[in-house]
Amino acid sequence: MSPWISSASIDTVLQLNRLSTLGLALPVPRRDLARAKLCAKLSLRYMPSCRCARAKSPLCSRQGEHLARARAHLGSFFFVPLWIDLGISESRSRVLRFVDSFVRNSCQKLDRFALIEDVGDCKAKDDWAVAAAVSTWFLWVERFRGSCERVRDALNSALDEEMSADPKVFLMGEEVGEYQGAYKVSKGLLDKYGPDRVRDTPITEAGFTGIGVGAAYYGLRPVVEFMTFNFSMQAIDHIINSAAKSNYMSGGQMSVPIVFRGPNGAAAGVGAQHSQCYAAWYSSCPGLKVLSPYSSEDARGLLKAAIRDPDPVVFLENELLYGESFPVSAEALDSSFCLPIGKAKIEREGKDVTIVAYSRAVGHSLKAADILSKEGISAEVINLRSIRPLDRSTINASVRKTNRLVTVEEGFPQHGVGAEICATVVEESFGYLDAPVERIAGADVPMPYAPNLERMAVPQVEDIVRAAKRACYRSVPMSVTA
Amino acid sequence: MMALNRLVSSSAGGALLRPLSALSLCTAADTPITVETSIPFVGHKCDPPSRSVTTTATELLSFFRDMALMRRMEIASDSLYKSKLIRGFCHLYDGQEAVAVGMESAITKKDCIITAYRDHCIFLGRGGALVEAFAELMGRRAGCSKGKGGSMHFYKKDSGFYGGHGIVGAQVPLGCGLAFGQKYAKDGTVTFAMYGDGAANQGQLFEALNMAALWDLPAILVCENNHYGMGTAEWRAAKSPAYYKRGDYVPGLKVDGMDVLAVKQACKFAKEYALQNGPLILEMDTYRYHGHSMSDPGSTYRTRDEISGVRQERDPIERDIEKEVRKEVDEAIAQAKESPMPDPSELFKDVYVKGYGVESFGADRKEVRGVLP
Repeated sequence: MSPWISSASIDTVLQLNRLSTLGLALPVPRRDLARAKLCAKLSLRYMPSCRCARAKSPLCSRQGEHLARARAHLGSFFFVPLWIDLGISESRSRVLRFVDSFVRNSCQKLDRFALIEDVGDCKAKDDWAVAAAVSTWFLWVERFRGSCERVRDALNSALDEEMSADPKVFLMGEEVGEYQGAYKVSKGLLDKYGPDRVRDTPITEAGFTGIGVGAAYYGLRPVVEFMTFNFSMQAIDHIINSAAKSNYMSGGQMSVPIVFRGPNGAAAGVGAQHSQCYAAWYSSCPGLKVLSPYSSEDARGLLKAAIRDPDPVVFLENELLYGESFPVSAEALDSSFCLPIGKAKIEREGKDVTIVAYSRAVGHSLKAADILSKEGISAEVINLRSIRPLDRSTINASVRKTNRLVTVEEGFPQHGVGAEICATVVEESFGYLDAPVERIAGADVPMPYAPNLERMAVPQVEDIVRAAKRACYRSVPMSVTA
Repeated sequence: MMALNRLVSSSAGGALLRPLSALSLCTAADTPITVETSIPFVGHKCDPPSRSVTTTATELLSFFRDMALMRRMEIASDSLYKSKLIRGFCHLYDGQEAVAVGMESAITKKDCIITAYRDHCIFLGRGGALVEAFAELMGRRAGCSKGKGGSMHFYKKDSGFYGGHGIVGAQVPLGCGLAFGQKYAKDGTVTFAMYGDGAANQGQLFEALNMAALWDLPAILVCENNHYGMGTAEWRAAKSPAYYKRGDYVPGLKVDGMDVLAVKQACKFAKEYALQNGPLILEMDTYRYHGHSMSDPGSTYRTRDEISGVRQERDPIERDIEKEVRKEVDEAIAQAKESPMPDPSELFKDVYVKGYGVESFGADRKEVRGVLP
């Protein structure tokens, strides 16, 4: 064994509450930078659950120490960070085997590096491949000690903690139990809480949603998972008529503390019936609260808030975000962490134009803001988090500052979330607008299947950039470029 | 009340031969009496309970009084509707009173009841006050839902009455959810989810029944078969009108819903059965005298002779206590009429339990806005 790998350090890693993401850094000599990038790319292909993360995450002191050792051994090097999905509750030997095979396989793809027979041998043929193997462990192996978490795991930990805190909370839906959830959000919960609290249902949305609402009438706190929100259409009567209206109709007698959650919005390559955003639909109904997280911190804090809330909450997740990792603050990892319902978050401050988005479109908007900043436009990005109640004051305050507004959503444009935002700004801040409000939304068509058409039907970063430039009167007319 | 008729005319025992008025004064008012139901129960995948029902003179009198009160309430509601004091929908229960009263006598207020829009008498049976009912019907502040629910949305959660639901069939999964809660909390109680012969064809009913059976929920599905959905006779809507059999793998029992004692016996049986074995369907063979709602005269799809025939042959209530009941109802109506309409500020109340102080808007948001408490 290399002096850098010890069983003690592995134990430390495994002691971390629930290891599901392993940070892996491949140190690479500067001269091999191109090769290292290739290596990372191959790794991604080999293990689709790997993804390059932001290299900015701070290192803990121990990581720094190992880094120093690697540096001493290798001289100057570049750092390729990767995140590996190990799933929850992996055994120690499995982790070891996995890391070993991962390093072998990823390096094997590069002909210059021979298969490493002994990861412990620092004097093996190729220095950096060995270094990659041995330094695997020490750099960023954090889940509950901070830095990064996937959205899927954030949802899982939120569910877990709320179920643990309140015995009235239970989860029901298709395949949430034995199959561990269609998107593995409920992974491990059946083992921990048993079939009474993690209830697999038949594929009968109207029936089980009604049962969930009835259980909430009785005082339980059900979390109803829809495999996707497309299927909630089978049960929308119970969400609207049985859940949203009961407290009002009964003069306050019948509270309905229930959460309806699942992936919502445009997915990839699944056609029109499985790819649609329902934010505008549900948020038009009084009596419901509608939340839509973007990052891991959003997912954790908002889901916990939704479960604790005494009213029915529609919780719109996004399939394409489940595997994304986001930095998470230590505060957000605390089990008491909770985000306020009805409050938007300013993800990025700016002064020239306000971009309002929710869910995956927040990521697009942040990328657009990066691009815009290079062109001298300072964009403020608002992550709505809560679609109902809508944080009208944050939106209006921002528009009064920037005097320009772009709304971004994946849903259909007509009567959409953007339309409502536009209306509130016209009503409250008309005099402050220096340009017409720009709306970026899903195309006004059912979702097409062919990839080129699908791309055209979903808002892209360049759409947001273009709209923001238009709002700032910075768009270059075609005639000028010609 | 048929049971009493039979009882009085039967040769079951000397004390029972006294006229009704004497029964109330009888010193043996709480002596158990056994009465045989006139129509046998029919079971589907279960052994039906005995036709011999134990009761007492006191109980019989209370049945009679409760049913007469319900009947009077519904007749009065009809008049209030016609004098335009009740708006919108109004579904009357007259003819079906024996179901509500018999069911209550077999269960406790810890058991849950949930029903559709024909809910006035269920509310009364659960201990709701006449004033609250009439005030709600007239949209007044004193209504059981503060005047915000209306005819179809009566609730009395503190006595296990969960509404009052306007969407045909939706209350059945909701009821199974209540049963889910009861089982989850290990309360040892059951839920009666009531629906009509029209709702019996709803898909979600079968979905809920499947889950109730899979999970052994203590849910009793009570099909009040009054033989007519809105504007439609049952045979035009249901291929198999044997509703007690339509649970297939779920046992069922057909009950004479015009006989309060038969209903009591069936509900007692059902509660015990459901606690041990999971769901059960009770088909209550009953009849509504009125149309489906106030917009349905109830005479286009059946004959007047049929209605008057049922009144004479099968009516669950006699009219002896009517005077007393009429007075009670009239007083409640007078009191309800005195209750004012809800304060306009009520518009923005109860939308949420926790409204976070968010602003909500009236039709003209520049003119009417409120803060959600």
